[in-house]
Amino acid sequence: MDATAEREFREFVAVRSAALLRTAYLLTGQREAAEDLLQTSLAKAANRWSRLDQPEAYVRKAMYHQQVSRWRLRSWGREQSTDAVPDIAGPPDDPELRLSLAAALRSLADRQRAVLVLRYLDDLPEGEVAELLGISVGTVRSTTHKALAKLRALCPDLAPNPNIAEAQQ
Amino acid sequence: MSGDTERRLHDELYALGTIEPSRGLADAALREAKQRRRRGITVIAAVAAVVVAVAIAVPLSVRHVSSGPINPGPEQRNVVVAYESWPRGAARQPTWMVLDPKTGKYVEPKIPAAVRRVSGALSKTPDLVISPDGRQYATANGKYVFTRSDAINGSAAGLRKLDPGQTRDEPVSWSADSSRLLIPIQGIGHQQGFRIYDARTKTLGKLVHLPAKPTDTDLVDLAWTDNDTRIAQFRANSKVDIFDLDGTLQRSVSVPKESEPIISPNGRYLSLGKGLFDLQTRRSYPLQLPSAQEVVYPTPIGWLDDDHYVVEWQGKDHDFRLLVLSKSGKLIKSINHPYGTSSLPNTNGKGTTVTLLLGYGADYPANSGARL
Repeated sequence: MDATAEREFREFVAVRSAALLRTAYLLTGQREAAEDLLQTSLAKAANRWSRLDQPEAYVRKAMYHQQVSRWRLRSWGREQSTDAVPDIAGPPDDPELRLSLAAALRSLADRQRAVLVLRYLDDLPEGEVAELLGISVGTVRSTTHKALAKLRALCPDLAPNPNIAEAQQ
Repeated sequence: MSGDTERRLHDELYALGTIEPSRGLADAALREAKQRRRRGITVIAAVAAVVVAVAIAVPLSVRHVSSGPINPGPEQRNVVVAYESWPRGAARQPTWMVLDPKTGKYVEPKIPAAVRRVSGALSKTPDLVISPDGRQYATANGKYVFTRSDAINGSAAGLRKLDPGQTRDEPVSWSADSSRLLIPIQGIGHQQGFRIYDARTKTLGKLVHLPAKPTDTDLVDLAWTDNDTRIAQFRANSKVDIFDLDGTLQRSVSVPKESEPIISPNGRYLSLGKGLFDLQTRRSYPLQLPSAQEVVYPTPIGWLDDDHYVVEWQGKDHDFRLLVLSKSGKLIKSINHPYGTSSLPNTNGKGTTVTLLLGYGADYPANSGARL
């Protein structure tokens, strides 16, 4: 990477790292894992910088794919390190349970959390989410449905807010 | 789901994910990028007498790698002689561990403070470059070069001061026979050059000047080529110059613009991201990916021998793969790889290679020289 490219890369990181880290954090549920994920994806981008027309799209894709790879690896039985004790104190369908959205998100399966992040934070269409996660559109829909149902059970405050609806009318 | 809930979820997610990135993120990413790049440079010289693996970051598991060497030839067992562990967390820095053959344990390398000092700070473990024969490592910090030989962490070590020193932190690279180190001397506004360090005799060759004076946008990389008899100079303006070891220009070739080409051991071909370029005929051979639905750029990793090269590739199935390709771009072998690797199959000169892995958060078990 030459000096000009490095300058561009640094500017990109300065401007876009907060947004990228947001997605990484929500994908992983852990700050350290999110920073790892983002740093590695940025490193990959840095080595291809001169060839990238849309660096942010590349970094996001790299994060999504790397995260999917991590799930697969984890499913092979490797230990997962964690920096947070799960906040879930009872069964997720406990009607009395009141959890923060953060804790509720952590309680979701990896794929469920990813689908929600891609759909509702990154505003990607279902087809693109399916492509990125390597699942069918039908699976995206069913996963979204189950994830939202679980979130609502854990986080009733997430249900439609009539006050907001009224204010917007 | 109502539009209102969608908005609320978006807002909640947005707020929830709002955390401050580490200040050193760009530096850390560039450092990691450089680490990845260095592996590719090292492999240029990878024709070794002893089977060896240098695991990048954390090998995932012996089970995973037991799918075998990626060479098209018979499988052999390979010993991991060193690996690089990336701790979790912000601005992480890798830590090298090397195999002590006496105990079979992985231990931190013993490196003098003079060569661990980078930008005024004392680095716990500087970047190591393992020789192709797996018996030596080298590290340099711009002012000093250090090698240790006669088995990793053995007693035979050499520390030499570079004078004049490097003006940029450029990677050193081993010759294919593991006897010499190429030390680039270069920097903005300084004349390009290199020195050869003989690790066996601990002698430092004279500074060889190259004609090019790199500009801010035309920095160059150097690499061994032509079976260790010449030095290739890669320029940002899509040009490769080949010099004798005394700095005499032998040939100059324009090549497709790629950020990190890797030259074959015999100096005839360049492995590019998406194929091969023949420096002699100037013909390109695009690689034939296993799936047309490419999602991430393939990255050149290195050469197994003069007839096979390796790229890292990530497919629609999200698994990273190491692809072994023939010169014509035909896929010889593909190995799925959960995390991907930034480098570097190594070879014993007979096409035997190992997979070098990038992983997270777990360390190699410290037991009797893990075998892949």
